[in-house]
Amino acid sequence: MNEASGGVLVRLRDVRKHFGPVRAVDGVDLDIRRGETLGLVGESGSGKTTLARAILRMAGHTEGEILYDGEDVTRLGSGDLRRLRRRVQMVFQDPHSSLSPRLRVSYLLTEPYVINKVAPDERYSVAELLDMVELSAEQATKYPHELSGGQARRVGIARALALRPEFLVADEPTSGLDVSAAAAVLNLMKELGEQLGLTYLIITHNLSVVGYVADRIAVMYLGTLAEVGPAERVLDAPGHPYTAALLSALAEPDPRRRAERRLLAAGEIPSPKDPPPGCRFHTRCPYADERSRREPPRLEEVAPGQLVACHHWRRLRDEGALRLGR
Amino acid sequence: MSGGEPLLEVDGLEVTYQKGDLSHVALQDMSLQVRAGEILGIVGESGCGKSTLSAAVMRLLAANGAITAGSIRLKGQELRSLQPAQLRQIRGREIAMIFQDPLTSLNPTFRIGTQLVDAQKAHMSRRSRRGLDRELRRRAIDMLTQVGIPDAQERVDHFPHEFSGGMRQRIMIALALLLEPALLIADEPTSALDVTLQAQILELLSRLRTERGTAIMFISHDLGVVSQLCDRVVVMYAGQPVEEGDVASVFERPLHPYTQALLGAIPSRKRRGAALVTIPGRVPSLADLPQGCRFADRCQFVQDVNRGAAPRYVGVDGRRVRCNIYDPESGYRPAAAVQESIS
Repeated sequence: MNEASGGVLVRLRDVRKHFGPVRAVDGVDLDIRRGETLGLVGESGSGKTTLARAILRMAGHTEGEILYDGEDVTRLGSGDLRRLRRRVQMVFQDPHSSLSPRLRVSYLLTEPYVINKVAPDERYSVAELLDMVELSAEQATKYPHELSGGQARRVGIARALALRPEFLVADEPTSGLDVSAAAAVLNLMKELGEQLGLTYLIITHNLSVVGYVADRIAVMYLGTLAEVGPAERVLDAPGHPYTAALLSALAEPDPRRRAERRLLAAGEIPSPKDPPPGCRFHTRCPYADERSRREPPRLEEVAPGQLVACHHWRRLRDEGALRLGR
Repeated sequence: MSGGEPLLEVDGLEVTYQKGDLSHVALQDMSLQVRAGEILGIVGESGCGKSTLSAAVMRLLAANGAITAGSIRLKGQELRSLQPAQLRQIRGREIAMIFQDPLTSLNPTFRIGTQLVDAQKAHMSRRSRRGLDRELRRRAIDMLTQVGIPDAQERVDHFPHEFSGGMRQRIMIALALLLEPALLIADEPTSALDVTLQAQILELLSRLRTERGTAIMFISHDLGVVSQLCDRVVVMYAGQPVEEGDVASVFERPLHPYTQALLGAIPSRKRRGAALVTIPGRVPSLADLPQGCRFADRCQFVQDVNRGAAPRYVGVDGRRVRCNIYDPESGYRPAAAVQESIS
């Protein structure tokens, strides 16, 4: 991470979160810069949600260093933690389970003010919040079950925005939504990000979403980072075989790509209870060798801002092995 | 793969659900053909009727649902009039189905080998199945190997919960293929899987078609997946097919304004910096379908004529589309802007 640290909002160093034998997050170094949209990509079991929750201190005790704007999150007292949580908000994956079914939208939107004892002149009105997420004022009197999936997602976003946060963590913001509703949510998040100068951490398994919104992309595999870098580098010139496998498996709506699809990752993600030694991806990687099975790779800078954890990145790059047929 | 006799022919199919005193038509004017050895994709957003279609073809509609018009013919035989006993012969042997969640289809209390053997026996006469256990088990192991279950010899004695989601879906596919059906209906089979596993299952389905000539009706909300797997595609909206054609032409030059919008709504890195296409409003409720074109209220090209008679499903360049813009007899007057946008 050679970037000027003045721009860093969140700094993670050797972050570890184990649940008993499950090593959900197992040594992650990552910076999130002020004003950027960072896409955190990984398949189920990669630890991406746990990592995000650790930043918000929603994952219980976590090892390693988590600095938010210079402050160590792991050591905050309850008062400071409450202040932090006003600056950082989470948009949950399933709005129907995160919004209480017994409360009307108007109450759900203003509840954060009650909980945080926000002075009346610092509050947005319900109408303002609904307007921000492009919902009509009539929605205020509705209950969550009366909303469509897309509308509920917007209420979740409005609720997160109520406290004027600077940093928004969105967990699978479009999963479960139909194509057109998902597009509307992504457009909205993009607009709000620009208008309000938000920093986003978007957690998703969907590379198309990340390709569309993210400035930088971090790829997780079994609790560790495989690759991180500027979106265009990671997508066009992936340095890690796992990133290349994800991109190759991506089903884009373009029939001409069919002939170019290659299947690079065999088998399935192993259990995080007993991750493979050495490089965690070696059990599925066509390029793994003895060293990969023995020695865990460290993140190395392979191009400006692009870091890859693979012993063989130089050889693979020189041979063009990970080039996608596009 | 195309040009063969239709294996499955759905013609003017209508399905109605009864809800108290009200009846909702969930599927209307549904017509399609699946040819032998072909992979036909059915795409649409939630509520478009795609799962009702598969349930109707399998004759597995919920108790309050009924086929109220049209026909479903398999190899020329009408399925609508079949008795339960005849249907059992068709299901499994002629048409098999796999679902999004294999756990709901596998019995958790039996070893998968037992289930794979029983499925074969169920379609044999009592006499012919005698003494075949060893042979049927061997076939089960073969099939598991073919769908990519490692150590099938040993894994055949495991229970469903001992397999991962991707492996369970493979087992379902093995189960479906054991009776060598001519048609496999796959309803969102990869929607619950991670992308690398999804790619593996798509590869498997594609290989099965090539090697065994199994025709597949692939139902999905994911246009990307459909574009990678299918030969032809039917796009559905509010209970009707609105566009049908070979995958390359539909994805490269969609005709129906709904298909156009749907494709424009998919995020991808090529669209960075640009806003995604959104479709104003919502899918109309089945209880309150608009007059005329069902997409009219959300369509940027709408004219008065679209709110009159229902648009016909007309042929255009070997494709079909349910839109007045393409029907010279509809009275729709294509303005210059529309012409430009659709050509």
